Amino acid sequence: MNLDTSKIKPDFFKKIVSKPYIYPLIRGILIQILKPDRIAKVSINFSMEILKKNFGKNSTVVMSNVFMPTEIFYALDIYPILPEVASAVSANFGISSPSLYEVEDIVYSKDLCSVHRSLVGLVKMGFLPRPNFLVVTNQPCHSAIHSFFLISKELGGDFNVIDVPYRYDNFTLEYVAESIKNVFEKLSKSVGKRNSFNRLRNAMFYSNEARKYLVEANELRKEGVVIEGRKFLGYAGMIFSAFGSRYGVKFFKALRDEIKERLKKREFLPVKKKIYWMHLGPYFKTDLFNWFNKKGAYIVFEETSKVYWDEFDINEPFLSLAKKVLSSTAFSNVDDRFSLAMEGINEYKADGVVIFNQWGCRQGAGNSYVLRKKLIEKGIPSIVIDGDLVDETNFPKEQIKTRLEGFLEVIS
Amino acid sequence: MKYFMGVDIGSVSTKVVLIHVNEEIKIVASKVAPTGVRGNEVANKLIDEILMEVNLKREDLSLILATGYGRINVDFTDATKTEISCHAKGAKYFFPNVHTIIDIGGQDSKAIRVGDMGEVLDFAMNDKCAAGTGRFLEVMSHALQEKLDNFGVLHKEAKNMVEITSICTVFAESEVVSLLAEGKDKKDIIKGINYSVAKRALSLMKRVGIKEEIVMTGGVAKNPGVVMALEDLLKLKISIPEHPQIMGALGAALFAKETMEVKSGRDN
Repeated sequence: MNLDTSKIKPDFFKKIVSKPYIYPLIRGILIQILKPDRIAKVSINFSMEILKKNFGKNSTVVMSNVFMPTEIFYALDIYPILPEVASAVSANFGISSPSLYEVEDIVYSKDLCSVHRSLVGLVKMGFLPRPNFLVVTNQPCHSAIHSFFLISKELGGDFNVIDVPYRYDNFTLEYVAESIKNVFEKLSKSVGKRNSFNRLRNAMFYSNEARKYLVEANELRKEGVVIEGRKFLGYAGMIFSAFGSRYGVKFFKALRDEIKERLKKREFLPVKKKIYWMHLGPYFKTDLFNWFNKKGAYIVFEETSKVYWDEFDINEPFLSLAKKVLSSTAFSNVDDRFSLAMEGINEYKADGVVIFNQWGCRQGAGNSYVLRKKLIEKGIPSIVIDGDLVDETNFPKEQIKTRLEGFLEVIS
Repeated sequence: MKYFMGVDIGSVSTKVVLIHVNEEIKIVASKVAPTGVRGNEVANKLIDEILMEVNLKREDLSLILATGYGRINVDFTDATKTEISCHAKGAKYFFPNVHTIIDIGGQDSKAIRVGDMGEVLDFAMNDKCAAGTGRFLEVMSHALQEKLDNFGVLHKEAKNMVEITSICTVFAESEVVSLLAEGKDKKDIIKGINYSVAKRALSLMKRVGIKEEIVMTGGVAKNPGVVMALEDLLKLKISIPEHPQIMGALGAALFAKETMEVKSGRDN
């Protein structure tokens, strides 16, 4: 059964958490209607927890972008709102069009990334709570610093920036570690949590556990496709937001277990063409992937699912977190993305690569054609698809299908 | 003796080609008509007209294969192929040494690189707008109140060229109107328009890599002005089929033949 989520009103989330009995009721209804598998069940519980922590009375609301190490927030029992993830979820709910419309008197240029335009629109419409604290990295995404600044202007909140240098060396590592530490200490003081460093170590332990399960899940995926890769484009939301929380551990364990079980039952999908997918994908409702699957083409691995960071040394929390921030390969320069792609293509035996260009994303789209050229030079058929993650008006479906179908004919 | 049909339902026109395969492949008939709003209906009408002309029935056709934007929702066949593969196939039929194809249709333009065997190696298509397509030329023709058929002759007669800076069809239209108001020569503007389309085509060709022989297909290939402009930019000769518009439909007919051959091979 499908829920018509497009009619959700801005105060809906606040209402859910306002009465103690509504919250479990809604959760129960969602589970009853959606009949989620064990993976989706954890996401529902996690989402409900985020709502409870952020829309309740006296909540400390922290907004952070997807490149911040979320472990520092979970350590303080803060469930951060990642507006980019909220923007993708709103697209899935069918409410990104109004948010993109609402934002037009604040963000004039449609040339800016639609994810960030949409999130400012969500704030303006009242879908997101008023933040107490905003913390954002200025790399690799170039839009976040501006959209978060706009949010702080619109809704208030203490605006903080983690300056992430382009280069990764000992100096920049210590510099970023120090910045994360400063933000963590400031936040700890603000929420008044005792033993904050021990709590951080605990969150990092959870993060290591979740990481271990994701590594195992990715390893199992090499044995065959039992879960469509497009679902993993959705799971990217959990990769961005759940590390450091107990839900992260539960989610990636459930994912690992589900893959393991399906492999055991040999529930393989009818894959004829294996696609390695780069960047994220459309989050609004579209038949694109069903159509793609009908042609026998399945995503076997995604750039964003790669565990690019090392296991944390919990005795060196800030250095470990800084390493994670500085070593993001999926959202990095062309050489790192290329190496990552070659690794994924070889490990998952992909027949071709789809590089998805998000409108207005300088980090992703800026180097996509160079990346494609490098892949083609290695004999890997590759195509760049200009589309949009959240704005379906910027997603000419039929043209995109023709390009993808042509690409499938090339690799056949 | 077998008959195969290829149907290319484009955004502007629908093209149908009937081929006959015996010891060699022969194009028996072809037809072109505006697509309008009912591609399927127009295609069916053209199919029936061709069959009537050559005194055949639908049952005499071994297979019909559809291509073009309207290929998905047709009621006369399930066999489809993209226009990318079909244009490559059609061009290869007439020009065995082809390695690069530039196809400019009503709504999109594409550059296709093919290997020695005619296999598609790579392709690039225009962005999400009508810049550098037949639609762009149509709008310009309307703005200039000059028939599109005259664009080639007037291009040749131009003494200078007025550069069209905007690639957006709508903005380019207002640019052309302004240029006319400034008293610029219509022929010089037309030359600028043809070069504007050629430059867009060239950028697509560069993406896939240019290797001779170069073949141009699609309705815009009938405009000698664009062909001349592109040849000038490339500093290379471009081969044009006698009927560039039907290359996609011809390719579709050839794919229909191959599809049946594969099927027969499997059945045997």
